[in-house]
Amino acid sequence: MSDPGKSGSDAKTPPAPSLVLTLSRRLALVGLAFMLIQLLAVISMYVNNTNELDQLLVTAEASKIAADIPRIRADGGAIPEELHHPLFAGARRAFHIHDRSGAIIGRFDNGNLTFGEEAPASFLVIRTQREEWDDHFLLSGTRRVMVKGQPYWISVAISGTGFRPFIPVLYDEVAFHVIFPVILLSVMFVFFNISAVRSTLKPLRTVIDAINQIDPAQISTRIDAATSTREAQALVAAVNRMLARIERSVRALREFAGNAAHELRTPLAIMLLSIGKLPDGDVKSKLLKDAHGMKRLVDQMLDMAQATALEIDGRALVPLTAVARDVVADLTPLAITRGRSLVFHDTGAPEIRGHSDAIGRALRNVIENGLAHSPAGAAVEIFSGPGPCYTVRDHGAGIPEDRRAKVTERFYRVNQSGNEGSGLGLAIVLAIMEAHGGNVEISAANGGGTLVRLNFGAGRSVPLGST
Amino acid sequence: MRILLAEDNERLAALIMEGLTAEGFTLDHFGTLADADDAARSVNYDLILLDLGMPDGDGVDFIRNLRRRAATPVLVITARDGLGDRVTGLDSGADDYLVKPFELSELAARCRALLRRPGACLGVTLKLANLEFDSAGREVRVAGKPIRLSPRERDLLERLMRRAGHVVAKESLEEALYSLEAPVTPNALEAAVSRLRRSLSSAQADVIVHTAHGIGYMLTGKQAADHV
Repeated sequence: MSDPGKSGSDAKTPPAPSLVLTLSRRLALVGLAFMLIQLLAVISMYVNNTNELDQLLVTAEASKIAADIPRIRADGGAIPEELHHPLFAGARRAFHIHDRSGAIIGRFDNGNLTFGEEAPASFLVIRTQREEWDDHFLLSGTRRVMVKGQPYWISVAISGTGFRPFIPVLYDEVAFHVIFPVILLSVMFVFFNISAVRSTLKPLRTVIDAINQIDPAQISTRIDAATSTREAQALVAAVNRMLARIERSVRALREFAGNAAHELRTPLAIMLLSIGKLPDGDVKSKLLKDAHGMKRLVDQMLDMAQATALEIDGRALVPLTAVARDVVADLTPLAITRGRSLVFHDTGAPEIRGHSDAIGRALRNVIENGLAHSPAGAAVEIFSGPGPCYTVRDHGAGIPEDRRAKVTERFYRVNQSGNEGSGLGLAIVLAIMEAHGGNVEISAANGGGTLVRLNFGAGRSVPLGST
Repeated sequence: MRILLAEDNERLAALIMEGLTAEGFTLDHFGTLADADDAARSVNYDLILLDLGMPDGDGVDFIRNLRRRAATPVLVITARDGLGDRVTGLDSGADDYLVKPFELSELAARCRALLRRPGACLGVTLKLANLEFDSAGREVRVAGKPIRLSPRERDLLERLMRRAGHVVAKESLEEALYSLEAPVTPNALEAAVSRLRRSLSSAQADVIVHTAHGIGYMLTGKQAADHV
């Protein structure tokens, strides 16, 4: 049948990842690449432009100090412990703070790194200076800050070696110019992704809903989904073409069944009438028995073909109890002729959507089976309901548990040596029940015998009344 | 009694002709629908036996055309007995339906049933084994001798004899009781049937009233032939 390696619909394969997830993964890769490029760009820009870093470092130290100005004023100029060290612990730093009048409100000297007492040359000057020797540097600069509506001038001197003292500001820069944009971008990606996938797949979902609405028993149905995109329309057209192909092959099977019926039954009719002309006797009755056996086999093979290709009119309502009553009434003469009896119990089956001839045929097959396996004098009981189901109970030998699953297979007979029956009966029943979205349950009855239960699909049942 | 047989298979037609002629019918055979149609227009047949699968057309159309001008009973012979096909046949106006293959006795019985169908309800003597029911004189006889039955039992028996060998629904039998007395208790039918059984067996009628549990009752002769 289908290639298990290629079949994507195999129930055992795990579900494929959703489109949102797949796209998210790819977008995450794009975001990561973007972040790396920007990181390199930012780092190379600052490494090549130390002046910029100097200013940033002075500004960063000044704003850190500014945050503590209210405390320094309140403590009368005492510098809190955390301001003794610069942002990078490996460097040294001194500072003093002037207020608007030029008075120093706080200062911190670090060993020989000190500032002169004088106020900034001009309160307007915002400057940064750098001096270098070997790999040492000395930065000095002044920044004007506003704290509680008052301007202050903070002069900072930083001394250190190498590039490492600049890492904190570089880190801040990276955070501001790289990480923040990337997070923003990622959030936008996620929203874009979800909404894009949703709106892109909306026509697809419409098509899927339309396909799911198709009644499998109605082979002439086509999808009629109003979709906006050309791609979804192409999908609809492809599915409809496939449905047309299925319909053609089902119709071909049905036609074959009809033609085979005609071709086989006419010669059988000739045979039966010819046998009828023979003088009564042993030969005639044996031939008649064989001809009837062939008739039954042909009947069942055609029933099988038609049950497999059953088309159910979705609007036709079948009163299950009335159908069962008719079938039991039809079979009662046969049962009585064979010395068995049928007992019918109306236990409240509803009306369901389905094919009443086929449902009758299914029940008939089960009852005939029960009669065939009942000892003389025994009764076969038929229950219609409760709910959309039939139950047929016989008082025969029962079916061994290990064979119960096999009895619905085509051409399987429990009693292999017997020459009664084609072995198609329960396979026909199963095909008809499956066409109705139902199933067949076979179990051992309490007190011996077999219980065959025909469950019609809950999806097709039509509730009657409020219960 | 003249019967038109429309059947394209020569051998089958010959066998049917031979068998039904021996049963006392007169038959005209045609191998195409066109010929059969011509014949049906010129002769007033009592019954038409029609094979639905004729080579030159659809038998269902033939019946529809026929129905526009005549009420001649039509017995359809067909090889197509698929799920749903039966409905198509009877809806088209055919009176009965016989699926191939069949035995001559069955065909002859169906023909006889169709030929007496109009007016069959009155003035007919129903027979089963040694039991006779004269539906005009409302008289029941066993082996030719009249027996006494209450009106209620007689009505029940008539309904059972009209469909002898088939189950008659409880509802239909209860109607026979309703028409005589107003209230019918749930057990009234059971009681009436058991009285009927007693009357029939004391009159030594060779028939049995079988109970179809949950559905109704069925009347058969005592030695129900093993025809299965």
